[in-house]
Amino acid sequence: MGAKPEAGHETGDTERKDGGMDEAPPWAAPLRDMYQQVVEEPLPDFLSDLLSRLDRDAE
Amino acid sequence: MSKVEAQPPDFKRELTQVVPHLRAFARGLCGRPDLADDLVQDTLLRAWAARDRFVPGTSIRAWTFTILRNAWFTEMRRNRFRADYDETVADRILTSPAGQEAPLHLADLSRALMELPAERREALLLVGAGGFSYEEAAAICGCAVGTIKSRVGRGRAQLTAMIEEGRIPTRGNASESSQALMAELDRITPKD
Repeated sequence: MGAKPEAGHETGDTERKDGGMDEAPPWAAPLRDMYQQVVEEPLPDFLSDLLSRLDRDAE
Repeated sequence: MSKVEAQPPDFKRELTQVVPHLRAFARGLCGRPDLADDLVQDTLLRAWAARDRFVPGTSIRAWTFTILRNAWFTEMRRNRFRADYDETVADRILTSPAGQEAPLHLADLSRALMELPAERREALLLVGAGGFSYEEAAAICGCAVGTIKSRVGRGRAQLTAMIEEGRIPTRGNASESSQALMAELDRITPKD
């Protein structure tokens, strides 16, 4: 699903895809945690209901 | 590029799978869970209405993120999502995972992120949190790859300095940054 991180774009560059340089800043891992925490939350009912309605619309 | 219409069930399945990521990106942009989910709802409706323009085999995550960020910038300009950052909710929700050492409280990080200019926050969210490549992030934001790299670099430096120098806004002061955010939005958002 969706976009996957692409490897090798920055070969030879000191920049990294995580927005850091060679040494990760102290917020790098918490930033990913913050994002992932939301990803793992259950969907609120109104969004689940909306997705269900899209299903019926498709039929 | 030739366009092949996605079959509705496939499109619906892919759209459903990307919703958690849309919520995470939206919450990082808005700083408020309720507004973020409203934005996701708008995004889903826009994506569904435009589903015949999605090219199967391409990244629906990147495609929907583009819709979401464009909707956010547009709605921010229209004042719909212009609201104070909800720190109480953030403090309650943004807790570190149990058993994980986290020297930086996620609510502090969230407040610090909201201090960044919108374009830098967006770039850090896409590349640093969402795992998009610079090329993908540039496509989502409609700018050059070098521009995204610059935004990530500047955002990174600003965020690091804010944290290292203890300049993370305290509770109750975070909303002061919203004026700067709006000025930034006025500068970077394409006019309708």
